[in-house]
Amino acid sequence: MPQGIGVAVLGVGKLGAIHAEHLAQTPGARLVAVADPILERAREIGGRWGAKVFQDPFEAVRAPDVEAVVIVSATDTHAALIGAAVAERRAVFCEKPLSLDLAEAEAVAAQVRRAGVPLQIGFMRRYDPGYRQLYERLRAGEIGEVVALRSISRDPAPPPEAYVAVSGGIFRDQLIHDFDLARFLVGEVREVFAVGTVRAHPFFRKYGDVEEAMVTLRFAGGEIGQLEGTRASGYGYDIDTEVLGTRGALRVQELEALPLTVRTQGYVRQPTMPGWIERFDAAYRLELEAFLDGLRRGAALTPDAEDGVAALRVAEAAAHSLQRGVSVGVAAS
Amino acid sequence: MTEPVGCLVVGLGRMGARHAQTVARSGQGALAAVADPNARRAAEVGERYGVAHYTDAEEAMDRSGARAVVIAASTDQHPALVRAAIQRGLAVFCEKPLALDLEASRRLAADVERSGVPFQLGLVRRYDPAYVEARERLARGDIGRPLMYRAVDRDPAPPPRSFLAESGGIFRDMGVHDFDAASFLMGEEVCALTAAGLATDPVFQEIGDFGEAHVAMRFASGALGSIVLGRGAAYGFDLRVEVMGETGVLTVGGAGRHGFVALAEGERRAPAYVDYWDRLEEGFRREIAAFLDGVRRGAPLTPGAAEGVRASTLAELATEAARSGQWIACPGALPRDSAGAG
Repeated sequence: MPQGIGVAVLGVGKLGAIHAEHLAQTPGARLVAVADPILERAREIGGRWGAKVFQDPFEAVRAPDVEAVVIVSATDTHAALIGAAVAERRAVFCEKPLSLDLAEAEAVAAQVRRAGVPLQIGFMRRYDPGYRQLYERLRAGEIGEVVALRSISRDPAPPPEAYVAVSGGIFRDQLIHDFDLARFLVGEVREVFAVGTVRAHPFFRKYGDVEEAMVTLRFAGGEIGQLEGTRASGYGYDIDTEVLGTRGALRVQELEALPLTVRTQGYVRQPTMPGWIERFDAAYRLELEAFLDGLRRGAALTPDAEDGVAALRVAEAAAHSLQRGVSVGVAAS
Repeated sequence: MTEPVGCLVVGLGRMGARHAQTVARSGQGALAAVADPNARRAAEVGERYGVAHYTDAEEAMDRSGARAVVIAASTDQHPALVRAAIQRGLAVFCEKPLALDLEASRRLAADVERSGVPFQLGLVRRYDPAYVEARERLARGDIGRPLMYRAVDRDPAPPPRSFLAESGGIFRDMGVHDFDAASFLMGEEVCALTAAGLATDPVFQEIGDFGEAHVAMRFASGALGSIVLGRGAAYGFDLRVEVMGETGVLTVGGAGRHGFVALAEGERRAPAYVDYWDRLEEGFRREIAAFLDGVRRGAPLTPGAAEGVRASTLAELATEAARSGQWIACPGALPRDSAGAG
């Protein structure tokens, strides 16, 4: 029979189910367990791939043939599940963010480091073929020295109010991907200034959150950046990142959903991506393949818990900046 | 859990190994066995997915318990393998073309038809999401009645001389995809065509083939079409279709990929597709998924052997037209006298 790393997926909501499917389809992995507080959902996904089913994720962590766990449960459960995985010496793949609380995230990262348990965090954009290409060409010096970063993340419509209530806000929940990209592509962020607004969906105010935010960045190396996050674009999902260099620019733009163009009624029309699942389909697969490959080879995983903490530090600073209306320095690690 | 259709993959070259992966990934127990005359290759792929492996395809059909077979062996093997499978009542997915020549393709299609065994031919573009979407938009009239069809299909580099010499030529080897795609997208038959070719390299002259070729077509409705085929686009794989209709133009392909763009030295640069797999991977996955799903549910499979014969007929006529320089009416379409050079 094929050898593979025994993996448990903890939390099989929309993204967890996708991770489970990818793991079941990857020869290097065996999907041995899935867990979800909604037992029926766990049964549905586990049954599809012949995996053992648990309601209690901690039981799944302890299950005998589990060698690695993929944590896709609610963010407020991440820290405790990582703790359990470390205790059982299971390798960990954890969705972002590590925690909503910076101090807790730091404690988790320290615990992981001390135990020497491999951990990869789910900043999937690092594995997206477009961003990968941008990164490699940037490193190859194709556009000279980096001057500035500009990045946009727009969701088509706001998440449910119940999700917003526990999301930790736009910076920790959505723009954290862009904070990680900023560090990945340019370098450490030294200072942030954030503004935000609520227009179409007043419920964001109840949670001290905003539906549209812009963050100006200053990097340790002197480069500058501008990020925009939107919860409700009104037109679709939109990802757009540009690094400007001294000799040119590299962009990852709105990815066409299909290589199809229709010219009618005065417009050149192209179908756009409906959402993040479709846009980052390849990235979700590739990040898990990198995780499994790293475990097999005993190589360092990336991005790791320290990257998770560093992105959260920028998010925390941006939240402070928004509250206080002033520029806020980002603590060095 | 849905009961999987145990599937045998025969012929484990590059395409066969990819089909085996797609089958294996479609669910537990989907891949029943693999077979290849090269024992080491058979063992390598079989062990990768933990399934039985055989060097003899018929033995594999008899002993693996498979209900379906994917045939990705070399074209000269297709007729014998397809017949072996239909005699055993196994559902068949066969890579294009059906056979090396048109007459053998017709006979094989007739045998498949008579057997009543579910059969699907590997004309992958019918499962490419952009072609599928284009077909739907054309059918619902997004750009009105289609008037002009224009396609470009170029591989990044010619295959080795040994392959070229056995390939049947550019129209039969590459063109069948484009002839089928033209009928699929336009929703109608080609009724007349002419063709011309250029030996871009001495090797093509030596074997009587072309490195670049051009086909002009007339469809049954009177719409016009052209297909450009190329063996060596130094810049990458290039697949484009443009359909002009009464109220707009629809284009498949042509833009970059991954949404990645570089701006440098006065240019906007988007990366080209590297090869056919890079561009059509999703289509290859979907055609196999559709085959397995159709067999499981007992639903009709498409495209069938008849579509293969039609595309091969057009390829045969284009090969002839490139020699004679004449317009040729296509049998079974419009009468000869209304299908002239127009």
